[in-house]
Amino acid sequence: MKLEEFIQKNKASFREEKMPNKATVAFEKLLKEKLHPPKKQTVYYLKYIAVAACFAVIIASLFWVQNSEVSHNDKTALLANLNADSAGKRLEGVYKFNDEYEKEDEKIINRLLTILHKDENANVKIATVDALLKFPSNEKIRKNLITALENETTPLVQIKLIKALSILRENRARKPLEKIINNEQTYPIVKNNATLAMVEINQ
Amino acid sequence: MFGSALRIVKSREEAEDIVHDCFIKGFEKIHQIDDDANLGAWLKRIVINKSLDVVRHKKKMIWVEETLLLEQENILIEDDIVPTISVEFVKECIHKLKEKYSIILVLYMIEEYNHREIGALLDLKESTVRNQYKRGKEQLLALLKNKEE
Repeated sequence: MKLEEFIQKNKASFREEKMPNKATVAFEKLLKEKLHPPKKQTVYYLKYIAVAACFAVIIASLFWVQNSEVSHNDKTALLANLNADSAGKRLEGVYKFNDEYEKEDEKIINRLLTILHKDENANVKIATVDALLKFPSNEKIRKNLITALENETTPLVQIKLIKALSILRENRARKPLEKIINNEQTYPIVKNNATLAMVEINQ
Repeated sequence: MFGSALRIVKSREEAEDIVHDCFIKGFEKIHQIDDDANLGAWLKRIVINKSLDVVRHKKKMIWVEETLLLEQENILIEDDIVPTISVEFVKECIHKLKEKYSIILVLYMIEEYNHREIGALLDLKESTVRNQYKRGKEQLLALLKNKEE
C-alpha cells in the first residue's frame, strides 16, 4: 500500500487529536480576559452613567429655572394680594402664604407685620397671626406680636394675639398682658384669656 | 484544529495556546467573513497560519528557497508500506522528521493543501515545496522501513 493511500484511508485517525478538558477552563478564562475585560465594562457603564448624570443635571437645571420663575411669579402675585385694597384679596393672600410657603421670605414677612399693625380689617389681622406663627423661632416676629398686643384694641384680635403668645410661651408678653388685665375698659372675655395666658406663661 | 496545530508545532501546550488565541482572533474578526463562507475552514486556516508563525518565530526556523532543480525527479521512490503498520507509528515517525519536512508532509498529506498553496503559506516556490516534500517522504519511508525490518 502506498504511503499516501494509507494516510488517506486512516485520515480520521490522523486527525483525532482532541483538546484536553483542562484547556476549556483556560479558554474560558482567556475569553473573559480578552472579550469581557471587567475594567472596560466598568468604563462602558461609567460612560452611560456620565451621560445619564449629564441629562439629569440638565433636566434638574431646567426644572430649577422653571421653578424659580414660577416661584418668582407666585411671590409677585402674593405680594400684590397682600397690598390689595380689598380685604378679601388681602385675606386670600395671607391664606395662600399660610398654605403654600414653607420658607421664610423677608419681603413677605415684612408685609405681614405691617398688616398685623396697621390693617383695618380684624379678620385679615387674625389670619396674619396664624400665618406668622409658622415661624416661631423668628425673633422679629415674636417681638412684633408683643408690640401688636400692646397696641391692639380690637377684642377678637387681642384674643388671637394672647393665644399666640401663650403658645409661644413668650415671657416678654407678661407686661402687655398685665396691662390688659388691669385695664378696666378691656372686655371680660379678653381679660379671661389674658389671665389664662399669664398662668400658662408662668408655668 | 488542535490536531492541525499540534502536528505543526509538535507541542500540546503550544497547540492549545494557538487554538485559544485563534478562537479569540476569530471572534474579533468574525465580521470580516462572508455569510456563505465556511467558518470552520476559515478558523482552521487561521490556526495553521498561526502555528507556522510560531514555528518561524519561536523556533527561529526559516524555509530556504532551493535553487537546485528536481535532480531526483525521475527516480522512482519505493513508497509501498505494509498495510498492517499502525497509525500511531506513522505519526511517531512524522514527528521524528525535521520540521522543514514534517510540516510540508503534514500540510500536503493530512491537511490536504496542494504544493502551490503550501508554497504560498511558507513563502516558497512550488518547486521547492515539491523537492522538500519528496525528501521528507523518503525520510519518512526510511523510518517506516526500519520498523518493518
